[in-house]
Amino acid sequence: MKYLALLRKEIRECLPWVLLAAGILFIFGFQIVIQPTTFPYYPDDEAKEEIDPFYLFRWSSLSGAGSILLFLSLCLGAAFSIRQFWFPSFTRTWTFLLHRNITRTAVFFVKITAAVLGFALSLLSLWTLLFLYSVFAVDYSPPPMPHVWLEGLFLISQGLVVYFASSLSSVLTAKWYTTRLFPVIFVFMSLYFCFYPKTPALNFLCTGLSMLILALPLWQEFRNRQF
Amino acid sequence: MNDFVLQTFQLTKYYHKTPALDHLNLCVPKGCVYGLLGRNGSGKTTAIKLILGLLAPTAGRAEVFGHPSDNLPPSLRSRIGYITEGHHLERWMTIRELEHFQKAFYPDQWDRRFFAEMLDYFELSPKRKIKTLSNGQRAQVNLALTLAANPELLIMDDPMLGLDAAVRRQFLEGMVHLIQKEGRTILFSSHILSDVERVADRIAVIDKGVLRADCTLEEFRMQIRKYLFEFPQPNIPVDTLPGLIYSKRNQQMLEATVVKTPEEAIYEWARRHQAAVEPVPMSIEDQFIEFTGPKQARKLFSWEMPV
Repeated sequence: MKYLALLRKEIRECLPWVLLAAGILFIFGFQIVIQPTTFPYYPDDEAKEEIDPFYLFRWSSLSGAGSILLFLSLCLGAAFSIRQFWFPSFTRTWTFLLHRNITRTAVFFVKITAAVLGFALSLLSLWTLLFLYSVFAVDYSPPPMPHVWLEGLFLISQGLVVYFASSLSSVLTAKWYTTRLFPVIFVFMSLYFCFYPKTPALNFLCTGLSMLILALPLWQEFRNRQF
Repeated sequence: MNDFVLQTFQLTKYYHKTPALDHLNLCVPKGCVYGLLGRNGSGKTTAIKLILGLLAPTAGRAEVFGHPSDNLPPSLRSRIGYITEGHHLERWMTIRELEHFQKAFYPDQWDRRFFAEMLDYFELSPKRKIKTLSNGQRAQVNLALTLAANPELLIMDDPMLGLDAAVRRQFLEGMVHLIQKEGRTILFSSHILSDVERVADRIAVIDKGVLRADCTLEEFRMQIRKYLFEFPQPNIPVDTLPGLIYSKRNQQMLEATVVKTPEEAIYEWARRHQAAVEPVPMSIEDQFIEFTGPKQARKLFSWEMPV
C-alpha cells in the first residue's frame, strides 16, 4: 500500500511532463506520418552492405518523427530527474518523504519505476501508436519494418540515460565544477557511443552500460546522502 | 534495557572544519517532554537530524529506542513522528490527498477521527491545497498529520518558528493532546521560552554546539539568578564574583547574573565589598539569554552546569 501511494505520488508529480511530451509527439508525430515520405528513393550505388539501423527508417513515413522522439526523450529525462531529485532539495521536502517506514532503496526504485512508467505512458505508447498507424493506415509510403519500433525504443532509452545522469548530478553535493559535472560530461560521451555501433544489439548494450554506470553511483549516493 | 527512548553518546558533527555539535550526551526518558533550547545556529537542528539518522555524525553515536540512529529500520521509524522547521509539505497536494498519502504509511496506527477533529479544531477544509495555506496553517496540518499517526516519540524542530501567538497556542494544545496519551515522549527544539515553559518537563541548553545545561525547568530557574549591587566607590571588583555569567555596570551600580551560586556566597561577597545587594526577578527568557549570551558578555564565565 505504501509503495503504491509513493508510486502514485511520483507519477502524479511527473504527469504534467508526461502529458506535455505525449501531446507534442501526438501533434507533430501524426502530422509527419500522414505526409508522404521525402526520401523514398536511394540509388543503387549508395546501397551499403553494412546495416545502418536508421537506414530503413528513412523509407517509412515515421522517419521524421524519430528526431522529435529523440528530442522529447532527452527533454523528458531531464524534466523527470529535476522533478524527482532536484526539486525536493529546492522545496526542502526530502525529510518529509524520507522519514517514513520505508527504506531509501525502496524510495529510489519507486522513483525510477515512476520515470520508466512516465516514458512508457508518454513516448513509448505514442510511438507504438504512430508505428501501428504507419504500418496499417498509411498507404502512400512503404510500411516501416518491425525493427523500426525497436529503434524508437532505443531513442527513448537515451532519455533514460539523460535521466540517470541528471539525477546523479542533482543528488551529488559537491561543487558543480567538480563531481557534479561528471554525469553531464559522461552523458555526452555515452550518447555518442550509444549511436556509434551499427547494430541495434550493440546500440542497446551501450545504452544499458551507460545507464548502469550512472545508476549505481546514483543509488549509492541517494542511500548515503545527508538531508 | 533502560527507560531511555533516546540517547546520544559523544555525538559530534563538523561541517568541514566548523563544529556544529560537540560531544553531545543526551538522555531522554520515556514519557518525558524534553525541550532543546539554543540560539540560532547553536546546533539544535543538527542534533535532531543526527538523532533521526538524516545526517551522519563525525564522531559519537545516537540511539533511538535502543537502535543506532544511523540505521533506523522502517518499522522503527513508523514509531517516530518528525516535524521539521518550516513545515515543508508537498505543495501540490490537497490536505485530503496528503492525509491519504500519510495514511498509507501508517495503516494500523492511523487515527482518522483524530485527524478530522484536528482539522475541525484548526478550521481547515480538507479540500484546500497546501500551497494556498499560510505558514501557520501548514504547521497545523503538519501537526495533525504527525499526531494522527500515533507516534510513540515525537521529534519537532522549532515547530513554532514564525507562528503567531494564537497559532502557537493551538499548536501547543495539539502537543498536549499527545502528552496526555500515556508513555508518549516529545523532544522539541525551540527558542521561544514561554512555549517551552508551558509544556517541557526537562530542558537541555545547547550553545555553539556544546551542551551547557541538562536539567528540569525548575532547576534551571533556580540556578540562574540576578542581583543588583550598590558599591560605595565606583571601582567594582566584579571579577571575583563567584559564578558570574553576565554583568552590567553603571557608576557604583552593578547588575550581575550568576549561575549556581548559593545566596549566602553572594551576600558574603557583597558584605566583603561593603555593597548593598538585592535580588532582581528574572523571567526564563532573561535567564536563557544571559546564560547563552554573547561571549564578550560572559568572558568571566568559568563555570558550567553539571550535565
